[in-house]
Amino acid sequence: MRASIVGAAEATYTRHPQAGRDTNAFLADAVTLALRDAGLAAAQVDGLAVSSFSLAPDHAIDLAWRLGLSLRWLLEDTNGGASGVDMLGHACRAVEAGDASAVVILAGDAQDAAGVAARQATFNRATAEHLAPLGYGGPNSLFAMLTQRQMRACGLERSDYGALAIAQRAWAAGNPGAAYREPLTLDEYMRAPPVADPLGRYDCPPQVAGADALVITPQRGPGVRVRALLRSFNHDHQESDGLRTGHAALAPGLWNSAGAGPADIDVACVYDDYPAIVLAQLSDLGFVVDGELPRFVREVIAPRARAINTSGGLLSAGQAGAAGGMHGLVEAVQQLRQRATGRQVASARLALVTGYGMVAYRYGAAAAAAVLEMAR
Amino acid sequence: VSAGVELSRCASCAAAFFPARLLCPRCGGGQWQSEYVRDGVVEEVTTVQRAIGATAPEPRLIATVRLPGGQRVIARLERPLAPGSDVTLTRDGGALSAR
Repeated sequence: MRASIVGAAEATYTRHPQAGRDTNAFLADAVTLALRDAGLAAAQVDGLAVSSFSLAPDHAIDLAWRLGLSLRWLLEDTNGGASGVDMLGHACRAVEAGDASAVVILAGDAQDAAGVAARQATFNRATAEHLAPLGYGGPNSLFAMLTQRQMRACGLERSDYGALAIAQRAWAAGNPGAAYREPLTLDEYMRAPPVADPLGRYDCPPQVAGADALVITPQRGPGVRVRALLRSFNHDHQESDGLRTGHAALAPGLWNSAGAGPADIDVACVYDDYPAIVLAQLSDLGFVVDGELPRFVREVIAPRARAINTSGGLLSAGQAGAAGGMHGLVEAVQQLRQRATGRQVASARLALVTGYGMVAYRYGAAAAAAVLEMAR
Repeated sequence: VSAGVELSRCASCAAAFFPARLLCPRCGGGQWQSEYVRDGVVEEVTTVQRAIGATAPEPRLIATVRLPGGQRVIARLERPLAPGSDVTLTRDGGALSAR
């Protein structure tokens, strides 16, 4: 795509919302930091895309007003964990087409436990009518059952998911922005308070407050570009087991469009609302060459043989609501710019970023993936 | 207490879905007939220890139940049951219950 990512920033994630620091405060911080990083003034911004679960009753236009932005391109994205990559695609097309010349894409939330619970109970019509009345406890129960299916289908053990959580925590030790950086042991993982079996505390991303932003302009000189970006919405109508994500549908087109394959990827930021979903996406995208997930966990994930979720991912950095869909994008850009202090992957040139989310009834219905490159 | 799960069957191609769709994913049809299904087989069960924001643990059993037509529904279990167990589905108020 003929567009460049010229700014990237994350408003520091905090474990608990602070008094006077609501979603808007984090969003404003992320915009300020990303524009400073890009060397642009707010007056130069003419496009904005935002994804947040807690804007209501405001919409994108109200946020633009509060941010002091006068725009000719505006989008509110509601694809949850897939919204970051989705917004990036829309922003690139906008600057390619000349509809905008400097677009900020933005996502964030600062919700307390009560806010998250309320969101989960009324997530969509199917949830409000058919899941909330069961006391389903949010998506944890649905992904607990999906994890059981994956364990059965692929011969995975709980300790395999533990190996993934431990590896991501080891990456997080190098990321000053991660909310949880202390090393995690298998014993701690296995003994963690149960959430919904087989999921325990370390299988679920801790909810934090925060926001992420990128700045996109028409292509200019060397820098980070989007080589390929594809989405998949509602690929199986929620009629399967959820072990094959929308990434299976988009993978052939993604790699064809990128002129690259999984083996060429230097850094992968794979949406990690749960460890099982990381493995499902990596499998769908062709990273698991022989299809043997237990071996892949043992030989690639556990020893960190490949750079996967180098920020610690949502499982260790924390999930700030809809910012979860942009967290991996910001990490990939920092890696490609050789600015991932403490966890830099040497000579990272190609990065994969995935998004996944929006549980329609039993599992995520939205997927999006992008291949980013450092063009010299 | 209702008769069971309300399936929506497409009047054009006879494919059946839960929850209800607006248009049929198979044939695009928009005419539906309701039918009620009570029988199912438990596929997975999980015990949710506590909901986000809950102050005290209130464990509950949530299950995936496969219907004879292959549709899968999420239901509450009254008591622990192993995968493979035959169950009867009822709808109490808004909640689908398997026992």
